[in-house]
Amino acid sequence: MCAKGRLITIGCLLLLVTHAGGCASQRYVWKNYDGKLYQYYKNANKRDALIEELQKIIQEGEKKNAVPPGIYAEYGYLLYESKQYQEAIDLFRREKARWPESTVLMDKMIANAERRMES
Amino acid sequence: MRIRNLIVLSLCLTLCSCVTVLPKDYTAFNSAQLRSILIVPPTNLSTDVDAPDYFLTTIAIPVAEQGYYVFPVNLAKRLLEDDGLNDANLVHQAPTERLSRLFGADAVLYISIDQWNAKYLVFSTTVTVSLTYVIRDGRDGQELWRERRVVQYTPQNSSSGNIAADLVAGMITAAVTKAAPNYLPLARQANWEAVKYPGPGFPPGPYLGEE
Repeated sequence: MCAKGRLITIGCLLLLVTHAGGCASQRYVWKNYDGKLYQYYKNANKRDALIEELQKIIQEGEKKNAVPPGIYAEYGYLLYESKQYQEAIDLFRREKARWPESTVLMDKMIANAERRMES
Repeated sequence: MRIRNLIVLSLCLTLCSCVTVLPKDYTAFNSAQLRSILIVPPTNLSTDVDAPDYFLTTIAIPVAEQGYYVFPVNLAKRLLEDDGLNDANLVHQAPTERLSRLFGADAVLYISIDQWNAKYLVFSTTVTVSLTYVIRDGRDGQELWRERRVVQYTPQNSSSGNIAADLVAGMITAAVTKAAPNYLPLARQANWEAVKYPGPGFPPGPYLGEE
């Protein structure tokens, strides 16, 4: 009985491992995007760490053609918030070029940034 | 003995892997031919005020990995706030068509946090995350997909046979969980389970399998 129980545990552990393996084979380079965003929501001082992570994702992702959707724009928005409008516009343009689905939103963000740059 | 072990093992695997779920009707979902999904900040029925922000960090990855363009969740959240929609309840009440026009999104994913708590019994703690997911068509607000997931976690203390030692071990586990119950692994697990297809999830989008 005890051996059976142990076997069942082992069987289920195996299953967990194979399942986790399935999740690990991801299409995009996310690195620790979710973890760093969480840290930032917990503590706004962690903003720079989030920016660094987004830069790393873009660097590594571009080598593998695996930059996730939204990442250029997420990074661009953090720059926009810190009034680095030209850099933000560049990133919004990259998001739009890579993901045509983002066109409406990115055009809006680019227009916003241009307006702020002028004023 | 070895054969019996194998039988037990295979039985266990079969039991674990063959949980049948009633297949959903994907007619409307498929005919919508979605390419992009806007994930709006979740509404919160729990008493944990941080739950919506924390949850939001976990949901973009599984949906994007399903092959859809997912709008940047932080940018979307801030933009909605700038638009006067600080309260997620207001966002969820707004017409889906309006939200999708604002972002150019094919569909909107709404999440409700139904439970996000830790229940403390004397020597053990159960952490529960319960979520409802709904995808609506951006053109007419029609519901295309819905799923509810409940994930629970109770640290298991293997009994040492020594009652005093077990009590201490249980108290330590409860104290650790009480100090910082970790909901994120549960939320992540719920998300992956929810979007899994075939399964309760939804069919993959245009970027799945694309190189």
